[in-house]
Amino acid sequence: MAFWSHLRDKITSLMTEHKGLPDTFKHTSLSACNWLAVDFEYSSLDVSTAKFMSAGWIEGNHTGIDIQSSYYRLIRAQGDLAQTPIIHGLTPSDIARGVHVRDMYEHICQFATSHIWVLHNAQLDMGMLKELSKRLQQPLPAIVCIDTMQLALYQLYKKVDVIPKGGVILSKCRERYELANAPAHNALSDAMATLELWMAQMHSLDPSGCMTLNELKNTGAIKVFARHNESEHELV
Amino acid sequence: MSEIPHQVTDFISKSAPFDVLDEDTLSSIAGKTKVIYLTPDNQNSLLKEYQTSLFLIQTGQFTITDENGNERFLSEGDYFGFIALMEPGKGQIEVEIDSPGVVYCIPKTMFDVALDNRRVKRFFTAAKDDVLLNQAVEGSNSMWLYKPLHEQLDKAPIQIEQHVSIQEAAQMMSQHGVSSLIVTEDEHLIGIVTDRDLRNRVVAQGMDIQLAVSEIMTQRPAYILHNQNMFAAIALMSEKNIHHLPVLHANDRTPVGMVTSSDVIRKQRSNVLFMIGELSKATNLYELTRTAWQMPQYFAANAKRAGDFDIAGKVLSQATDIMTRQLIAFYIEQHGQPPLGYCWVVYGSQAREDQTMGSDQDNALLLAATPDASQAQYFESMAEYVCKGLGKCGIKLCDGNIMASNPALRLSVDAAVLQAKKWIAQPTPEAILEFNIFLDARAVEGDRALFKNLQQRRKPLFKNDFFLAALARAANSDAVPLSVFNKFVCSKHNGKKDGINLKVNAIALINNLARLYSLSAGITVPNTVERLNILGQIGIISTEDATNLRDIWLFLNRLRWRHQLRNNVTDNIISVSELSSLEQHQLKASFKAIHRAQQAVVMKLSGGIA
Repeated sequence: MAFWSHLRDKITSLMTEHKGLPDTFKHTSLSACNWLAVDFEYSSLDVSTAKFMSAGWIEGNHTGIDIQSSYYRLIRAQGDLAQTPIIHGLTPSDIARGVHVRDMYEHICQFATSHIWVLHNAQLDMGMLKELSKRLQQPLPAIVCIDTMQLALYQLYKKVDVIPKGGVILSKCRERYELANAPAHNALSDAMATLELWMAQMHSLDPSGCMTLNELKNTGAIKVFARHNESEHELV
Repeated sequence: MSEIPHQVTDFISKSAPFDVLDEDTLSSIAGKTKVIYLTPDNQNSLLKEYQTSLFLIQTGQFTITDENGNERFLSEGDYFGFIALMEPGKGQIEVEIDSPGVVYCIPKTMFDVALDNRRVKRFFTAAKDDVLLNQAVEGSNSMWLYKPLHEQLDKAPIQIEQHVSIQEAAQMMSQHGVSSLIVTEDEHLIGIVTDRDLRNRVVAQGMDIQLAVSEIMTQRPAYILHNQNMFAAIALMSEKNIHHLPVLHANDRTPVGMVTSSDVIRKQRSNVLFMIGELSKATNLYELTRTAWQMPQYFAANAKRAGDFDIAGKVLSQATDIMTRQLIAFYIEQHGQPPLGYCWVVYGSQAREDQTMGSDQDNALLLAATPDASQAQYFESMAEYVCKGLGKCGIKLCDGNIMASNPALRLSVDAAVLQAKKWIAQPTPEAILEFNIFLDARAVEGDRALFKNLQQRRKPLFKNDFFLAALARAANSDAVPLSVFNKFVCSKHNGKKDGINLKVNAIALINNLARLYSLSAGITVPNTVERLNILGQIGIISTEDATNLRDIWLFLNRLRWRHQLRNNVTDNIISVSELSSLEQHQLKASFKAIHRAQQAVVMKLSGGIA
């Protein structure tokens, strides 16, 4: 437990979280948003040393998930990857064939203002992305995220006081909506699974599709992440 | 490098009929697919957005109402929207969301690509027409065995009158290129002459070839009637160890053809039938039991293909028939000829010829008259010997004591008719359970005229409206294991949670339907496939329904036999996970068809009161 709290604190300290939504999104209804479900796989969970190993994302909107928009890349890496590639089913040659992490970063940042990003445990992924932006000496534009894990916590705490261990991992959250089993440990598959979960969650929160992003703020699941060059703590 | 989420390709590739498509086609389809979360609030806009798509349900439950007001309840793995794509202007549907869920929308362009595959097209055509896929049974290499002989004889018999010379007979055989001739007197069969007769009885013995052919013919040969099927012909030829079997017309007994071993060999690719020949060769109880005990291994080793599973039940029933006849012959050898006319009758699965490895024996003795004490003793002892002998051969004794060794099942024809009258007078559900098995009956040995007499006398009794209504209600009391939302209703079995009892919840239901309609029409054949064929031909049910039910019956039996032989078990409970995606679809379609047929029989025979 100590490790996890330490990690969480470290991640939190490393990133900037905006206090408010950009004006463009404030009054946008959920049904008008474009979604980008994102997931990354890392060589470890230590933000200071972790390397990106793969990235996957997929787009969706009120008309559904567009499979054609799927993106999946292995990230070219050097150095010790410990045991993690085995978990993700990647071989060293797979990883050597991947794209440079900078290319992936530049690609995904193109979705920063056009899409609301959907992540399961956004703190981790956005913390990692922020760290990457520092390493690449690139700014991280303000990115509005929906954290499906946070939303699951919000919904669960309305029903129970204590959440069992593993109660909000992606597969458990999907089970509660009777969604089909999805393969884990692949960035694109997890991104797709996250987007389906978000669609189910959205239906349970806002069946009529009238709610705005601003109205979701009380769930704690809406977060805005950014890093503008060296000024890490800039807030909106 | 553009990729597709694994779960998307996985789901599409495991959903029949897309499972037959190659990887590239599947990837193109998956790439163009949209995945929606369909809810009551977004359904109007989404169904409009994707009105030219095929919908494949991954999760959720939906009620689809077609333009005729028919409702279908769909859930995971089911499709909707394909009729509108296949027949523009038709297939308008209303969708009601009973439980929201993930639905894959495959655009028409990609659906058309999939339809280029013959099997995909047939799947959706069958689904559109609401019939079981014929491919469920067409893969069978044994369907010819079920067809009546007259449909399979390709040439008229070569026949000669008995006074024709041996030389002329040989010339005629040579001219027509046949290995046997039918010898007639006034157009009726009195013998046959074969190549072997010419070799053994003429050439080898230096016989005068100008003598009449009647001198060398085999007199009073075994024969078969034209309306029986090839399976019966092969079984008879194997049992009697003969290679030529004349076929006579059922009405006037005139020759209509000849079945020869080479005809059979040409068509017959299955080994499972040869068991019959082996059993017939046994000359004592020891040899018979030794051969019979090899049957399970023999079946497991030889029944590999779908067609083998289709005939396995018939082969096993024929084998049991032969064991019975052999045992009776052994008994008569030891105890002398029967003191009274008798007929050995079999019931249930043996009568229907759909025995499985788990079937037990159901039989009775029908007597020409009420026996006196010594006659009764003879038959008691015969029944004991045969039933125990069958038990030794691996055909289980009947737990319900429906065996000739039970004195209550050694009745005279008159007493059996009286018994039938009692059934008809009080067809309570309990009584129906008890006597249902006796309604599928077949004579196996002895004086078949006794059995025929009983059948003729019972036939009008069984047409009684109240009796049929009671049977129809009883037949409807067991339901197919399918929920309203088209999901299998499974039970736990052997540590698995997805068990379905194919016998109780499906095959027996079709047997019940075929029996009921047959009783109402006075059809006495017990075999379900033959009953359905006849019912379709004489219009008691539509030809389409008859064919569909027959195909379903064969399909279910195939699954059951495959389950028993592959897993070396005798139960009828298959695991849904044992089935391919296509088979799961076919099984659901079968259950739905059985359910519809059950409702129809209740409407027809019991005035709609279930």
